[in-house]
Amino acid sequence: MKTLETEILVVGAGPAGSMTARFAAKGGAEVMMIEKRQEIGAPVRCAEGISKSLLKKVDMTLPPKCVARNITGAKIFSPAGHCLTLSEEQAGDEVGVVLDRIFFDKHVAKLAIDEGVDVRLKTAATELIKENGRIAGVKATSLEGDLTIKAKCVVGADGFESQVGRWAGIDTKLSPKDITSCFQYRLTGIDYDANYCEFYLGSIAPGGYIWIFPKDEDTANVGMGIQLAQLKTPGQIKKTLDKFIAADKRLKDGKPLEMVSGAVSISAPIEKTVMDNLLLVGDAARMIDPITGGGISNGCIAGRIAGETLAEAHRKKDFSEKTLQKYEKGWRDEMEDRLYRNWMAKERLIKLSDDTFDKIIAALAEVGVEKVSSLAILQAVEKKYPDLVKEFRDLL
Amino acid sequence: MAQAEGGGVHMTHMKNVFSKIAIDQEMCMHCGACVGTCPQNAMFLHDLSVATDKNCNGCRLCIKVCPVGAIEIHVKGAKA
Repeated sequence: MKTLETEILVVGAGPAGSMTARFAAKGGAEVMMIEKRQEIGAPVRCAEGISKSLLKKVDMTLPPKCVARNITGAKIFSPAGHCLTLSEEQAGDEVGVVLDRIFFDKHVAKLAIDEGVDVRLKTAATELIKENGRIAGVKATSLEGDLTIKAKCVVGADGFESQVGRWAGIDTKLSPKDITSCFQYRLTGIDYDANYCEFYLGSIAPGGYIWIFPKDEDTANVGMGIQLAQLKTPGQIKKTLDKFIAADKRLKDGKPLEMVSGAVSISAPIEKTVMDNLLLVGDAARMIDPITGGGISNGCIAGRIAGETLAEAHRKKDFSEKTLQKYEKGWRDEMEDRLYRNWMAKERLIKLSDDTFDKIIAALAEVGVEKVSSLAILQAVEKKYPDLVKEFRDLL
Repeated sequence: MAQAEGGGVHMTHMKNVFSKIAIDQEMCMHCGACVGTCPQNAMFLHDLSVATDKNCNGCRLCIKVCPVGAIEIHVKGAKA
């Protein structure tokens, strides 16, 4: 078996892994990044929306081909069809740009490669190796045969499947209430307003929503997510989405260019994302926003913090949990409160009736809202209709 | 249901009845929804297949989470 050596090994070349690798290498560390697929960015498992404000936080500009569509704002529909229209600035974290992930992921990986990261494709980690009780790398399969890759620190950026964390003994297990199952078409030949991301709430998608994210004038990502605990029959997600599309006169004659399935975590932040010689980042660390299901922003921001922490660990020649705590604290300072609050809010939202959704959306459309976060929505509704938010008062 | 031999089908022991998680590899989108959901860590996503192992306890969450309905369970010794 061939043995390779590196200082930091990143498992998974999605945006969070690439961002971690990039900032670690920029700080002088030797970094290898392995990806089990044969192509970075494919297959896409994402609705592809991000805010423009993310880009500054992770020090990057988007080449035009990474951007499918710039978005004016968002429209949020209640079950009875009340519509709240929001500008891009109001709409918050997942609205502004609809990406082409197939190019975006490659671009972030290229930024890592430009800093000297050694990327290897079709190389899949199969287990962690330990030496004297400490994590010391992984075993992997590759086109060159089985590999042992020794590393002083292993980064689990391996997405929702999150094997690295489980192998290490970090608890990333999710309850059925904290998982959303998703299905999406890229539909073309549709006649719609391609300037807004649309969201449909209510009992049609309990614990999730239906989305329409524009890709171009007559093409959009049309998908839905439902909380696993609410699912009753196999394949229910796809069937429900098919029904929604068939009933929407703008969408029903659309033809699919792509089908995407997947699951996202909608959990509270996990207790621990670092240990001696190992850290977790992105979806693998359950950093997805429990309300929006968006993970790119949080994964990229945490990736930067992880990379900068690893660069410091490289300089100190110390990858102990104590040194890596800087990352643990850093990402929690950045997003933990929001993730926790949105997780709490998600639990209550599932219990809301369609009638209440109608009242809330209608009320918001009337009073307006400065910025859409769960907190801002609750505050705006409370001003006018305190009864509607009494169940959420402890979150205010 | 087209069932792959080996990787996709595994005999497992569940509460004294033998059950079999069957992944239809042709319906499977290889998205990993079942893999990340499995509380036993008994499922694995390879490049073009999903596999289960002996740690499966028949909880059926994979069947529910699969967005396209590509997973079934066959229980032997129980009324189907």
